[in-house]
Amino acid sequence: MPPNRTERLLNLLNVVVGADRPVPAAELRRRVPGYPDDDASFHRQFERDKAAIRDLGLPMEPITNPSNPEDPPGYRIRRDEAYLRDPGLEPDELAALNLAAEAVRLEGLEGRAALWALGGRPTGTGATTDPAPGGGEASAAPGGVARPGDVAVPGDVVAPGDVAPPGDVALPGDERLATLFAAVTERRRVRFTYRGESRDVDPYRLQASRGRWYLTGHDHLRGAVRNYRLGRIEGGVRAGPPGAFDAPAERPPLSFDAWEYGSAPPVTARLLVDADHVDEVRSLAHRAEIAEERADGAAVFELRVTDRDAFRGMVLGLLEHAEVLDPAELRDDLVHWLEAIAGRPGERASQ
Amino acid sequence: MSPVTASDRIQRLLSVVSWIASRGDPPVREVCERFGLSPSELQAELDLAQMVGADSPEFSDMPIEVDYEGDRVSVFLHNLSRPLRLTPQQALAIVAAGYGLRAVPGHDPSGPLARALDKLAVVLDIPAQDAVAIDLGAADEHALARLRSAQAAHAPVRLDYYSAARDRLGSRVVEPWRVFSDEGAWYVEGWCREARGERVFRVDRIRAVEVLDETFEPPERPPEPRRAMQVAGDDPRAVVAISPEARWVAESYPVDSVDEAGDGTIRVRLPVAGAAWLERLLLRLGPAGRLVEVDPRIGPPDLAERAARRILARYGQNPASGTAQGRR
Repeated sequence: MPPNRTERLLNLLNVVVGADRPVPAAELRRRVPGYPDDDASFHRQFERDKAAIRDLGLPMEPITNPSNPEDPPGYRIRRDEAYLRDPGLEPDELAALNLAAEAVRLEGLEGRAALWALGGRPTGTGATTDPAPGGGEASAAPGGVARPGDVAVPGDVVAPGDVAPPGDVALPGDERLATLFAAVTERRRVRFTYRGESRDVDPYRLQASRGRWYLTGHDHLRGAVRNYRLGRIEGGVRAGPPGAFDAPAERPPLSFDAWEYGSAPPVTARLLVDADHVDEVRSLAHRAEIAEERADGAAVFELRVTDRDAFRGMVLGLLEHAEVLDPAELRDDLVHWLEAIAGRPGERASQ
Repeated sequence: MSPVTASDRIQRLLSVVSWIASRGDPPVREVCERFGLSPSELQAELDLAQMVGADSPEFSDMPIEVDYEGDRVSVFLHNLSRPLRLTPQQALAIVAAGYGLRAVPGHDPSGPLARALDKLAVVLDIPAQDAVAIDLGAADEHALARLRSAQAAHAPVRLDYYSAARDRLGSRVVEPWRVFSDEGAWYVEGWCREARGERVFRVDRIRAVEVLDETFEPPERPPEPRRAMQVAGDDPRAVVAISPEARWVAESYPVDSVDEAGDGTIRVRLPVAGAAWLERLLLRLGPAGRLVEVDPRIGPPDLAERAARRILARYGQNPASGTAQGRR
């Protein structure tokens, strides 16, 4: 983008942001240098500039002057609409956000513009700090950013405080994420196609889990809260006007476990897990509770199940190291599933 | 880093001038460091800022005044006095990064990052604590911390590791190069001395980490970030026939080839990390998948049937006797 365009957009913003009245296009043309003389070219250029300002997230729509309704409509952006409110970050808080942006990569989105707006990267007192990209040894850098909480414990363990080197973290991207995020924060109803049906949804939550993004919200077609995998939304997402719904009286429970992500009435399953697989299930099932620990180290987990297929898949992954104790319906479901596999003729036998 | 777009440039300029204005007269060097600009880039940025409104017929249209005093700079703002509101993309990028780092096991819930995110939630109108939720996978925070410090100190580690592919516990010495989270799970990547090759281990399958009292020579160039799931070219292969409802298999796993059978069924040829891995895949597919061919190094052609019988034995069922009826 040539500098004169940046300059013109800045000039345009300067006139409309905080203006005491809507400024008509003709006046903008006079006060903002750099527009072509020819009318048609001006209008083309002006439309492109308005689009660029909307891309900045600002409302650039013609409005009528309330005190002089006879005036031609004009453009005005209130300061509170235009400016980022100052969150009042302390240097260590801003440093932590910088570290987060270095450590966590969200496919297709970059955090640097947000960090500029929040105050850039704090540089500490005198010392130049330039933590290694990726954060590999950032906490070892002496001096530099004040890092309370970053306590090195003697021996081979670094205390994993806020600013311990995080390794690196990759989050998947999705082109519909930004629209949905804006819809969550601005309470806009969204419409999209899912499983072949058009859905109107009040979006409550975006969630990244096991390498995928999910949306949770109230589905008006179903009249209930539902979860959607973003990757299965067909086509784009259209968002309606802001403030379209009230925050739910009770937020849907947050879960990261696939078997809690269904729509069936919940049942509590008890799963017996052999001793040397207890750790695995503990990490697999974030919210499962251990109801019983046996003398041989085996444990009985209690899981809330609303998606039976997902539950069965998880249990099958444990092979013969686990057993569904109850309820009978889930135990039978698994047994029937396995019998269908065990009883069928092998490839060879069928020939 | 990608090139600076129009909106980025405007946001950067307004961010720089408003920060300088809020600080009085900071040293030029400090401004440059803070915003990642060279002195000449900063100069160009401030020159542009001063030009705003300069050619307007109205004197009051000049919002930004810049003064240099030695190696310090000051700014007076009459308008455009704050950075612009974040676009949804910008806001989500920083929020997801922050929430992502907050989800690292062992993170301090009252530390500076948590405080920063609470403050951001207010100005970005994030309606609830859990409106954006990020799960990086569970991992023992002490194991994770040990692995990271070993990586930083170039110290090899002895891992007690459960190999899910082989359904077996083993011990091995690994030179850790990188600790990362991908697809919702934590991994350590490095040189495995037993296998004499580069390997990736899931942290939640590591049962114990011992940091050895020696150092290794790290690779000259750090390894390219790689995905968690990787294929070894010489892994044995299997061919699985898959019904239409389970076509996701072809998208979820690295496969050599996918052949359409014409009736919607596909035949997928794919590398197999171990017998237990293939058993899990076939058991989960159930009626939607059938093993057509398998490298004998992995197991017999009726490997899924055998695995199903092994599990059924736990349930007191014995379908080998011929009493079992498939429900379908």
